[in-house]
Amino acid sequence: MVGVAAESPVSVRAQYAAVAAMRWQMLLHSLRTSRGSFEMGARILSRGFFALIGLGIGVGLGFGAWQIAAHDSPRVLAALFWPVLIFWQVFPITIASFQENADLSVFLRFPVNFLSYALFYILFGLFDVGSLVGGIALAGVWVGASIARPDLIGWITAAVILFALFNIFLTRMIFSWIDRWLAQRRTREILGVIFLFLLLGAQLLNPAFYRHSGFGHDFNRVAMARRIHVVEEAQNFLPPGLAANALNSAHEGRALAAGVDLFFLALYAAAAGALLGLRLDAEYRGENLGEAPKRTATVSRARGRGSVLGGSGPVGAVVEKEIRYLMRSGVALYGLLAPLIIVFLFSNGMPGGHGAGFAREYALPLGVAYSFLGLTRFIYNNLGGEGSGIQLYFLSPTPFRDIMLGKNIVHTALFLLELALVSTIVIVRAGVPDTRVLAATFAWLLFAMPAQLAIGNVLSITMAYRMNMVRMGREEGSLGNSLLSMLVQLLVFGVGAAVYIPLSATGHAGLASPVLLLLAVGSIWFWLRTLANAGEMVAARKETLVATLYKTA
Amino acid sequence: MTTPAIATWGLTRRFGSFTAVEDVSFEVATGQFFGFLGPNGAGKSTTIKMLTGLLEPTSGSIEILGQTFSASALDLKRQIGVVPEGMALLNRLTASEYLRFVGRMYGLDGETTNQRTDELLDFMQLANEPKKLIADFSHGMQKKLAMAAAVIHAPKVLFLDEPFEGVDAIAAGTLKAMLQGMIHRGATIFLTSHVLEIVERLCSHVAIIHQGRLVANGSLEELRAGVASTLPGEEREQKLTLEEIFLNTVGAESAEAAQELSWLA
Repeated sequence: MVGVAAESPVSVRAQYAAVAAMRWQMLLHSLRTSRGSFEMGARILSRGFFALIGLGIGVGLGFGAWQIAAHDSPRVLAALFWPVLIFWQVFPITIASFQENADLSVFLRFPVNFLSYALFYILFGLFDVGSLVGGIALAGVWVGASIARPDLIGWITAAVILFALFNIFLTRMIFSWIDRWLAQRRTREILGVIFLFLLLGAQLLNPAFYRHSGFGHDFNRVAMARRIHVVEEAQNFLPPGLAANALNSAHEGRALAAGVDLFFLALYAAAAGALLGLRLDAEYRGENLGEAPKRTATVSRARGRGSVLGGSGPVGAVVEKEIRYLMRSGVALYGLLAPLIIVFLFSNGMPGGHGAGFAREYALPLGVAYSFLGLTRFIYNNLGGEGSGIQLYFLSPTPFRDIMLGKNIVHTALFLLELALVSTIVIVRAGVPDTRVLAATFAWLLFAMPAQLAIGNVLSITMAYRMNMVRMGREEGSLGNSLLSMLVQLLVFGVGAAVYIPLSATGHAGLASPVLLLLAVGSIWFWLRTLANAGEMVAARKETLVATLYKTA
Repeated sequence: MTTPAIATWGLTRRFGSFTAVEDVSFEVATGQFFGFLGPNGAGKSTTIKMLTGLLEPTSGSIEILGQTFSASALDLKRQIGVVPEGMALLNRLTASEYLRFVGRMYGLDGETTNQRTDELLDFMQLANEPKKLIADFSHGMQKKLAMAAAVIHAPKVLFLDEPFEGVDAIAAGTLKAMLQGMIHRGATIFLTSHVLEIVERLCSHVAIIHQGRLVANGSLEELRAGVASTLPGEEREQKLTLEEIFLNTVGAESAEAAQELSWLA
């Protein structure tokens, strides 16, 4: 009987079945606790919500595809493929900190072959919001185009499948490479520079960039038309253009040309798959996504080097530790950077167009509210990065109030930094808003920050989840916290809007600031109460916190 | 009458319907090196968690240095050091950053913290890789660092949950010397370990927990005499090792069960 395991080939099908059974058992076990049931509810709710969005987009795109295909101009389908591509790729990155991300390294201890490992990675990725919405939207295109042109259904199916495959591979490839780059300092810095160049490069597409160039309106129109033509030509060689061109060629009866377009589309999918494969292969071979240990030939000890905030006691120690953790986590830094990128991109061209007045008026409050998003994971799960270190807090004589205060100080400082950058971007690009809006925004901030910190402290203690500091996506079991934190942020923003909009509409916008300041007093009181009660709250959940943050590694 | 360093009365901990520790009472005198033994799942870690304030007992009481956690938790925590089951490390700090952090969390001033950090890193031979994150440390290095963190504030009572697990022989020797030095200077050490030779060499008193209940407690000589009295004539005369005492006390059925796994190489 000796050596049975070595002699029998490992059945891949059995492994898939085992993984499916394991996931099913985990699901059932998770329902044993109220927290698990809440997580499940949050998962169903968020997936349902996004599926509905996908359905809406799918119906819209399906109708568009039907119109386009029925009017014999399938080339224009590229106009539908492009938004799908952009959504599928960009959206998951912008909401990375709200999505769950299964850690598949757990499979590496088993005799799982590389293809199975890669397939697991891709299959788990299909449940991402981007893939869910993008997939449904693409299905809409398929249905719309197929109804309009049933004679082309084979070509439409092939084009849509290849385009979907390209998107699936590309989004997983982007995530895996970003994880890799963010994991180490050098690549993190390179990525930062690339982002910077991309941001600056994006300005070349911005008509507002040319507004001070001295050229007249006609020139801009001509230049714009020329630019559109160039872009149109270029997109013919990119996946959305190739998919649309294939259908156009099929429509014109040029099967060979359609086949060539699909072949190139398949090449794109294969290239994305190959790049994903490279990354997965490294992980499969046991790559560690941490800061690589640096070999030090000579002993260069930092003897006597004091703390950054030396002598400032436990609160200072927590502040310093939090900053060190943040500086060593590319993922955390990316989370802080993402809102800046989005604000920068979406404030593109704000001064022009019909919405100029609205943009100038409300761009700042919207930008300020949005800048909270970068800190969501930290504010609402501020113990998540501690791992087994959580025990130290329970063992040390430092009251939990001080630990929470230290964390809140860091998060407030980070928010202020983010706020300064977002405000600068918005003001430079959209202009300075009305003084009353400015004052109301400031008063709202005084209400919003303590409110978010207070609720964040409560959720951090009651709904903590273990946070992986080197992976983009959220960890499993974090959706409940994610959903609640989003709701709280919407609520806090809603309070501001509910105060300002009616007062502004009735000509009393100036009253908004005092009202919001009154609310701020309440939220500061609430925050101080949560700090005072932190020790008591933690004591009641000590075992759960240790089990969640340390044992469920 | 001297106050014991550690004392428990009727200590019980239940998790739902499962009783992990039941009615455990013992005392550890000041300056004693106390070994707390038991098979896997016997309730050692649960007991040590309750003794260090990481876990609330379902019933019973605990006094450390005459104080209770409910009355003076912060003051008590200042006087005890712990290497818990999970080591309580912050993986994304360097060793030196971590020790400085711990020192400040225990209220040490900056100068003392820096000085002790350097001394401890030297002593534990962890000073050679100042930029390496704890996450990248070997298990043994992490254990040494956890030990350094547990003593940086010079505790009067030290609780060690498996401190020698994964530590190489040289480091283990260094740690043992440090612990014995602490005992000579009046500290009390409460140790759980599966390495019975180490416990036998270091500890003057031993308690054994089995299936949540305390089944033996006393000095090594007392335990030896107790077990010997149950043995037949000739065996009674031999000097029993701690391993023999332990196996006699908790039973050795598992060794016989292993004989049945005939399919194993």
